[in-house]
Amino acid sequence: MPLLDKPDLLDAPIPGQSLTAEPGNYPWEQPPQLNTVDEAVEHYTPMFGEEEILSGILIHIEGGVALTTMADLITKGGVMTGLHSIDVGIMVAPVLVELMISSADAAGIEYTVGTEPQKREGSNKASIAAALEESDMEPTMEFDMESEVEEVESPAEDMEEPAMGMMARRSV
Amino acid sequence: MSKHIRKLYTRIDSQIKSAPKQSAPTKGLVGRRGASTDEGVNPVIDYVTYIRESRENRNAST
Repeated sequence: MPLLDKPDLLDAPIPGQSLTAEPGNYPWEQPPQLNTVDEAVEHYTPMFGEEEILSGILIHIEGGVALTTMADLITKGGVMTGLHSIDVGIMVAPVLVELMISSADAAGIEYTVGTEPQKREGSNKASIAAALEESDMEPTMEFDMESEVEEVESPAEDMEEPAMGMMARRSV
Repeated sequence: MSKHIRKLYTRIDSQIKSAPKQSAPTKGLVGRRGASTDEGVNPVIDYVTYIRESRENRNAST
């Protein structure tokens, strides 16, 4: 991920830059077109009857994308285009998940809802080592207990620090 | 947002399985403009129940 390693700081937005734009420029800053969950359901339900949209959704479901993630994407798109508020989007999402389950069942596709408990694949140390091997980096997080203890103990043996500052008592 | 959706779906799912005729709390979500947060997610539960029933009927008929 070279982009994340070295972000171009000169291209980054200045803190507070979003507040300098005129309010109401974006669709989500306007009053939403659909104000109730019922209206949102009426808007989204016919989508599952259109072949092009449904096939796109089913391809992603078959690819292993969780249904809650799909519902999140769909509703986020609705919020971005100013269709409904975030609250209505979250509340309509379970209905979309159920509709997707019905569509996947009808098409005979296996799906994951996204609420299943996740299985941990291997230990954390093993996954970190595998990631480091992939990135050709040497592990630098080795922790040696003995050397740490020695380092902590050694400053205690040092001599007294001379008093510094204007108000310090001077030894004559 | 995905986390909130998963939480709400789990809550609605367990609500339907335990007491389908009762409403589930919205936990602050407002489903209608100007509505109070105590209104519950009745319409969502109704929709989900209806879709599940129609799916079970379809599976039973095939």
